[in-house]
Amino acid sequence: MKILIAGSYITKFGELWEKSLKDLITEAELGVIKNSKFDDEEIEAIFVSNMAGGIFDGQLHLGAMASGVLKNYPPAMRVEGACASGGLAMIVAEYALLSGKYKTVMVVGAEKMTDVSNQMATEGLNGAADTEAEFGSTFPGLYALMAQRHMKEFGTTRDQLSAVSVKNHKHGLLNPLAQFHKEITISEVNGSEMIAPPLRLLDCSPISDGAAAVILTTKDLPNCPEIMGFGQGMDSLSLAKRKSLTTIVAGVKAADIAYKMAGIKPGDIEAAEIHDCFSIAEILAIEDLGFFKKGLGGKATIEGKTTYGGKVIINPSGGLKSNGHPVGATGIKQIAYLSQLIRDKKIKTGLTQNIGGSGATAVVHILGGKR
Amino acid sequence: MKGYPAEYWRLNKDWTKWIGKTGEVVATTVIRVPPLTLQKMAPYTFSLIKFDNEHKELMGVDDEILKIGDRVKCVFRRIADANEKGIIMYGIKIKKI
Repeated sequence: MKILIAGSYITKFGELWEKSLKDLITEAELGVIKNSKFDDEEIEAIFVSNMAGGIFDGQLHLGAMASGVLKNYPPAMRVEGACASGGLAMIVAEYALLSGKYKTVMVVGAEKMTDVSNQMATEGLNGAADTEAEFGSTFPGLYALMAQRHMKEFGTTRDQLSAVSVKNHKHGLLNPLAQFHKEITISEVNGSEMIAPPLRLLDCSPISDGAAAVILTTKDLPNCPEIMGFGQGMDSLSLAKRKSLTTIVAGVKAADIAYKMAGIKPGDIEAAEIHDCFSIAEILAIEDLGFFKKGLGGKATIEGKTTYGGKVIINPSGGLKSNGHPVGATGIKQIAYLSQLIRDKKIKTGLTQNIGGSGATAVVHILGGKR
Repeated sequence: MKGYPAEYWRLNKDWTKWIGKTGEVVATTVIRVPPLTLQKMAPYTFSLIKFDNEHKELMGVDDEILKIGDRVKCVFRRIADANEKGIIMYGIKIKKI
């Protein structure tokens, strides 16, 4: 049984004053219906990805909210796995399709983050860490520990970290829906405000509003990208219990499963949307996904191997850094963006990697197989 | 952590196990943009420490800056700003030996 992506839609990402969480979910659902050959009545179920609607918006019960957008009120449920909520919602939808229960479902992800203060956003996102074992931490702080070890063990440099943000901002210029349309330089990243050394402000993805949706189907349709493989990996919620700070083991596990299911190797991937919540996260990811040897991700980035004309295009959308990171939407946006590149014949095979927290949850998808 | 009395007790019931333990810094950073309950503490260090049989993540005391390889010991300190419940929260931090 094949799962096809029959439609996709991404809202503008950014500080969207005029739009509520409900507005974003509604726009994404109606947008993806319009971009597909299906109508309301043909959507048999909806899987909603959202991390913190209860904290940021005081809004829970998002399954019912999403269901109410469509005329026939299909069954709907919310899936949460921190920043990997989108990837997990995709997986739940895929299992529902593979079970044979449904033939066509929608997956919608949304987050409204900018109505709260930066401190409140930091506090809310901290719920993705182990709030007892990692008391006092912040997400920049946890990724800073990983960055410091990577620099110590492999000689990764400040400039190499900065090259990730520079490249993603450059890619974001090509994406009209990206939060930032501004080219930045290595010296600007190096000189930006220190958040948690060695990570600086321009190493960090922003607080964002946004939504994305896809329609998945097992019906036989022409010209639809296929989900060739998917995998989920898990590891300890806290960093202290991990075997390594320089490898996100959950990501390696998820990638292994997805590559095997798709029957392809890392060298077959032309473009990847990966989870660059911080610059170091992209370096870890391109190593863990097998694109570059462990320790050489930073070098590959600064040498231009992760952009157009290089070995593999990493984050053509601009990634979380430039496109924005409305956490519940991110995993769906990755799928939606790559599926559009495949539909537009810009690439044949792509990969998405969605990470929850500091790496406790990871989801990898491989898309391609245009029919 | 919201700092409710029961939650606070659960978090700290193994204080005595850790006070005085020594370990080595595996990785360390400085939190300059803290969570809401730690606004008055910032900036503070946050480190991953290797003890004999396990690793643990802990805040550092005062404005002491640490580096990889430093030897540290666990001490009993205030760990958060007073919260709306009136609880002054204490717990384990690390101090350079």
